[in-house]
Amino acid sequence: MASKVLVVDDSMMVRQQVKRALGAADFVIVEAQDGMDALEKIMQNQDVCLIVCDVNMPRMGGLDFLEALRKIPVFVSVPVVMLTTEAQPDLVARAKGFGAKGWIIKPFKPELLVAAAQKLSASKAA
Amino acid sequence: MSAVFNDLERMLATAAIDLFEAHGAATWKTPSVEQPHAEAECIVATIGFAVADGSKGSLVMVASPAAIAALHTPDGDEHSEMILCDILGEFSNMLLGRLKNILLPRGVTLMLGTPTTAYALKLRLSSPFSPCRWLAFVVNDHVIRARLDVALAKDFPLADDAAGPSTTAREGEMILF
Repeated sequence: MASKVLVVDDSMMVRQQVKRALGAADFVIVEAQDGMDALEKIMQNQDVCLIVCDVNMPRMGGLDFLEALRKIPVFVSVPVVMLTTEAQPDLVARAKGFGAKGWIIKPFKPELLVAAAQKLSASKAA
Repeated sequence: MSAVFNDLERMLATAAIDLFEAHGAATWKTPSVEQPHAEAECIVATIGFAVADGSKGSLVMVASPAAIAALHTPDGDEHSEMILCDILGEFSNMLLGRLKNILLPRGVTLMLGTPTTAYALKLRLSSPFSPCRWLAFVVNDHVIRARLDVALAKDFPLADDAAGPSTTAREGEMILF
């Protein structure tokens, strides 16, 4: 069965780019447009093997989403990669503190994202 | 304009050219202008930012639908107003993110808002209360304009050299923890 990835970004353009890259590598994509939407979508898709998440979003940003996600026992260990324009060290440290597995600065290289997704989804499945 | 404002303008121009070229677009900057002519049909995107010292400002980007479509081709070749707004909003987000990453080692941390976008006919923007300047870029033979407006606090902390924290990685790079 194909691995499912939740993509959280307020930009449709970015969600499309991620969907195109990971879809070509046989991942199934679920989209959410902010952290609040992502919390709803993941409850309906508990078999998600990876989350790719922006930082600055309306309503609920990526780091607040990550903090909220880790409070839900079933999602404590789901791998999360942040995909953002931000490179501020304290934001990276905060994400790492909440158990994020990676940080990608936009614009992303599709092959890097696919390699990360394959590695992290495999580790989740193991 | 102050020397600091001129520095910020130069940084924004560098960031914009890097950003457009990272998307495969041949780009050059035209001379700065005070106020561009009204566009017949355009998309406008804006993001506000603030600094802990009380400085604040915004980035406004204006481009025609053709300019945006030439910069990024959406899936399905659908160029609806909503999609074009989304694309320009994301480019304004990436541009301000790059400016933030340039400023970090200079001791300035911008706090960024999220983009607001609109489709407009015969757009005329009012002048902000703070100093502003328009930059214009020719991107894939189309003009994309960016307006930087900044109200600087008295002691805006722009260091002369890389005294502050450096960024963790550069645009396009990935870190795995």
